[in-house]
Amino acid sequence: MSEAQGASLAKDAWIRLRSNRMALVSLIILAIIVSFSFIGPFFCEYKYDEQNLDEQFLGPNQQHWFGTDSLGRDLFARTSYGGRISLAVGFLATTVSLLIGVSYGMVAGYVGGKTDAILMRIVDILYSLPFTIFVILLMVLFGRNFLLLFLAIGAVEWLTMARITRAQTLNLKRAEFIEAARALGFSHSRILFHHILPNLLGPIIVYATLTVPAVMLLEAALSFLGLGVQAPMASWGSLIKEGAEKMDVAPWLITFPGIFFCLSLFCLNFIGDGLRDALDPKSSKD
Amino acid sequence: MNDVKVHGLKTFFHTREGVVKAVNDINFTIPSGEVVGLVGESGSGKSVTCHSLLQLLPTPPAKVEGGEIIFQGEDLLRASDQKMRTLRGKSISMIFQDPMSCLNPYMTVIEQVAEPLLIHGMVSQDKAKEEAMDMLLRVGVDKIKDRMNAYPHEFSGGMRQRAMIAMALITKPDLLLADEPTTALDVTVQAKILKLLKQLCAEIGSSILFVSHDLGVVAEIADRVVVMYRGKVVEQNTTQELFRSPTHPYVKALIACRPTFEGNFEILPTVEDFMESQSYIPQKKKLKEQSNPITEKDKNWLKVEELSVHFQQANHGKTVKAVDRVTLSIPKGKTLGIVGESGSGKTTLGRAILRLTPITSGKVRWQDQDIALDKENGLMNFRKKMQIIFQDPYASLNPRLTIEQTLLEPMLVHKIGGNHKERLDRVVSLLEEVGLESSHLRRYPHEFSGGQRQRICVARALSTEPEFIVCDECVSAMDVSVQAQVLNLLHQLQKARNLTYLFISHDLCVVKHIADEIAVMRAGQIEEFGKAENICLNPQTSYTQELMDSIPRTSITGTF
Repeated sequence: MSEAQGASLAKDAWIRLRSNRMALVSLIILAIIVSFSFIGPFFCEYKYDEQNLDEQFLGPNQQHWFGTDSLGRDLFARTSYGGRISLAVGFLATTVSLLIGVSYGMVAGYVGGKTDAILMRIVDILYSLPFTIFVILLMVLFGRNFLLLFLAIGAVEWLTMARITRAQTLNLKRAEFIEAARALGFSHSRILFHHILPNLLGPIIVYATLTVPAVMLLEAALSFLGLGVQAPMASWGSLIKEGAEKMDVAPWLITFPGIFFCLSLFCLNFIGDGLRDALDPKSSKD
Repeated sequence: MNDVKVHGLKTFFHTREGVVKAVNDINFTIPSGEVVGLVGESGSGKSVTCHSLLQLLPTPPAKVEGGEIIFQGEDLLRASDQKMRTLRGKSISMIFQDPMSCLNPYMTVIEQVAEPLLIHGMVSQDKAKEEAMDMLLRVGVDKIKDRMNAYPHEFSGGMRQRAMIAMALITKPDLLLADEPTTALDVTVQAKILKLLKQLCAEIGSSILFVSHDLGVVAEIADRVVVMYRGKVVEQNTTQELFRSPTHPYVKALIACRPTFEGNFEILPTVEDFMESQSYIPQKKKLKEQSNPITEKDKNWLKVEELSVHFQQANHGKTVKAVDRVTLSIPKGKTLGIVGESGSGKTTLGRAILRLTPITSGKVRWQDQDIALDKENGLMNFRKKMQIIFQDPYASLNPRLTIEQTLLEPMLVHKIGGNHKERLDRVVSLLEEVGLESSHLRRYPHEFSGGQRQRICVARALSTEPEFIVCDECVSAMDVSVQAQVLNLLHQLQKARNLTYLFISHDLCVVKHIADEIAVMRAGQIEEFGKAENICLNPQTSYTQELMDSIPRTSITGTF
């Protein structure tokens, strides 16, 4: 039964999303970027870590579509390979932070009282931990691991999500339709998931689309400190950093990864706006 | 001379969905020194008219398309911004509806009352303060000497509205615009404010444009009444004449469909009745049927004994006795009305009976079973039988569920109906029972009007087949014509399903109309409890007497 309801809401939302041109175009562009990252390397005869010291700093040409870097590595291969890591970090870490943050915030806001106070103080304490030291600690304890990167970033990003969710839940909890649901004898979990969660979607989605780029930047910062992606591996963040240093010699090094990075951020924002409107029944004009 | 003439005023709103003709070619005059009441239901354009006068509307979307407003020989619609600023607050002042949000919380009341004088450079700083004190005294703010440095939050609602009036009148304006100035206040306070307003304006010589949705209030204060309906003026006349012999069917309906203190209709006439047939005459004084004698078992069907609800105030640790040892009983199939002013604990009482608010002590006996102290999960069976309808139909429906989902969910939770098909059939018949159509099923709440939404709330409450429904101010936020429809619906349902109501309201007229018995609440306690007729005709306590006296009387409604 509730599956059927979910399906119909999702169907309505999809119809509304399709009619939003900006969101639709963004969705297509993002799909192209994603496929570029995952199947792009097959169209390129160079490997991302293949050095050729004879071909340093070549501009875009027929052999190297995006040019080469200081070690003569092909930038096309590196950009598409870097896209995998950036997108994966972006989406996985955001998902992790969503799952933890939303459930944590919802419980804190809905239960309220002492539980709320304790849960939110824990969040405050975690906020106060310096991020880099936290990551270095993780690395020391568990060794350098790509998965740790997701974990570390997710563990920081969920805090803000929890706060936003809690504040919204506190407001919603006092709404009369929640009280009506209680009067009708609905269980707490039903109220939480069926009545509160759908009404949280708007702010959650907007914040999530802001989190994805923030996470990508954070990954770039970590990589810069030598804590994230290590050469010869690459991510958009690390490529941009590298390119920024050589901007006067080889401007294409920052241009190409930069274009991809910006494009995906724009797309994500438009998709986020579109989703928020699509999931809100009030925005339909019929 | 100093009359204000509104001539052919047209104010349209240009929205994405098209042009809304909020005010469409209206004419009226506010004679110097008189009180003109501008009456209409929500969306009739009364507030837009009022705001047009001061050019206070947001442009865009609003745009004045034509007409003129002549004030002291000048057309206000074409006056420059600079000119308007010299008029606003000096020659024309305004009082708003909500005294809570119209005062700046970071300025002392005195400063704010004095501000118009200073802004218009009429007197010096010290003199302004003096005059402000004087004015506050005149509007009846007591102990003003001790309150020199008081901030708005230290004032009660009534006192704040008095301060607003002082602020509006301190410049001795020629015209005072009052936009629903008493709607947010309790009746006893409202009566005092109306009297004060009228008296002060007579002293100063201001004319008033008094905007209200409530005919009763307007009848109390206005010399002339202008009735608006869908952006047009449908009738205007002196107050006496308008009430004695209304000509337009809408005006007739408006007068007839609000429950009055004297009236005794079983079914209230509605606007549709009048609009459909020009010659509709509501049946006079149809007496309520003599009810069958109640059996001893039904008499104490729901019994509340010594019920108390106390709240701990967060920052002071003080205990607030919201409900204090209340004892009541409601017979099956009857309606108990609870009347009280804001803060009297009537809403808390209703919620405590439904166990939506934790009970401090006392008993709630439901057919001889005490449900006051059951664990929350033991309440499932009672939840099904007791329902609540809230005041605000906008807030009490989940905006993300369709009507179908909203109505199906309770049945699903309480396992009513064998399968989806069966439940859906019940939903359809429920919708028809409350006067909606099955084609509405797939719509979301925001696609309905306020009255329709309240019908949906009623349908949802009925979906679990309850025996007892708490109606918490459930018609208070509605226009009178919609209010009449919902009251009639509640009445029909009670007859058809033998429902028992606890009807909570601040409006004595409404309660008297629907209730068999009335309990008057004050400061958490029952002040008076008895048969509706007895309480209304022969109140025993002075507080109840005061409540009765404060009701705006439209006793001039001689025709019906």
